[in-house]
Amino acid sequence: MSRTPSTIVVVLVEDEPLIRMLAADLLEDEGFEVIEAATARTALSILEKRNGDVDALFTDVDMPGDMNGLELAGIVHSRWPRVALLVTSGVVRVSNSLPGGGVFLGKPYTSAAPVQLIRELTLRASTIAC
Amino acid sequence: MLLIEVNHRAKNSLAIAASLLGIQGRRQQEPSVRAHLEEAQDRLQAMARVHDLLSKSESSQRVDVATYVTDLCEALRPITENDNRIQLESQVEVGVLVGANTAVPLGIILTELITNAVKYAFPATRSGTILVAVRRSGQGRVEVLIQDNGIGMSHLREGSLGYGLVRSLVEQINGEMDIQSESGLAVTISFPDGSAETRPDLPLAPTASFDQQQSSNLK
Repeated sequence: MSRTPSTIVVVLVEDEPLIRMLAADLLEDEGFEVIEAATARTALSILEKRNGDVDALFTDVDMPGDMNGLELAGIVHSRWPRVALLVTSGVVRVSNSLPGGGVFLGKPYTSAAPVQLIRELTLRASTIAC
Repeated sequence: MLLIEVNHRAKNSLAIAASLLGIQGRRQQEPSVRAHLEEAQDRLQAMARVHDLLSKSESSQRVDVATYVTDLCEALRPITENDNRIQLESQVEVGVLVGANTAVPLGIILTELITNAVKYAFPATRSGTILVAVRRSGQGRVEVLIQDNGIGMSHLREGSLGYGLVRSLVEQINGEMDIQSESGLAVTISFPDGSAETRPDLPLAPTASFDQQQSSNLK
């Protein structure tokens, strides 16, 4: 798939397949390009392969493996500060202390929420860059 | 400890079921079918939210209504924030606890009424405020008010599934419902508070309960 400058590319990290599928649907319906990952490690290797060339990371917190979503968000921000961060969880509630002005979204979220937040975050990032 | 785990699993299963309905809904061409599946998804999410709070509560048996309402309003915020026309306000007394048997029906009732107001009370260019208030009303009762200054009764259609659901769920929690539509819509629900629910429902006579169980097994 060729990437036009206006397409928002999102790495979606969620271990529960059906929840990930729905989230991917929501984002793809808005014309976003979605790259799915079931673990934080997979997401990190995707980002490495693309040299951090994505617009946003949308990640769950609790996932199997040695890295949770918050740790992932921290690493992504330190290596690729341009990537907008949206963190979600149904277990923990994160206060607004995410790096790089990232946003926390509690689960369950409404279907409009991720799209809207990612749009706002990436818009903010692009205006800062300019 | 076990109860926490049970509630946690119930929450996860309901959240997954809700996602499944969401996925199905988004693959429907027909807008009305999509809308129905979305509503069903919202209802399952409402139940998931209750089990989530139950799993986090100290006793796993009670939910603070204030926390539920705050969580729910938070979840609806992207809709209302996106839409400058609608203000969502809550005035919730802290520490109104309801038992698990009341929490699930009440959660669906609140979701139904608040979501309904957010979606339908202010069509087109109309703007206004939705107020959610929860307080103890004395005599061991809790009063919940969901009020908007929108178009009024027409968005809570008698005979609609949402209305029917709310009616029967209010009955389930031994509550009463009052609907006023002078300017906008005000739905007040009053029900006995959870203090009586801490004891398990002991049957009046053990034989009666045994008979009941047997007859239900035979069905």
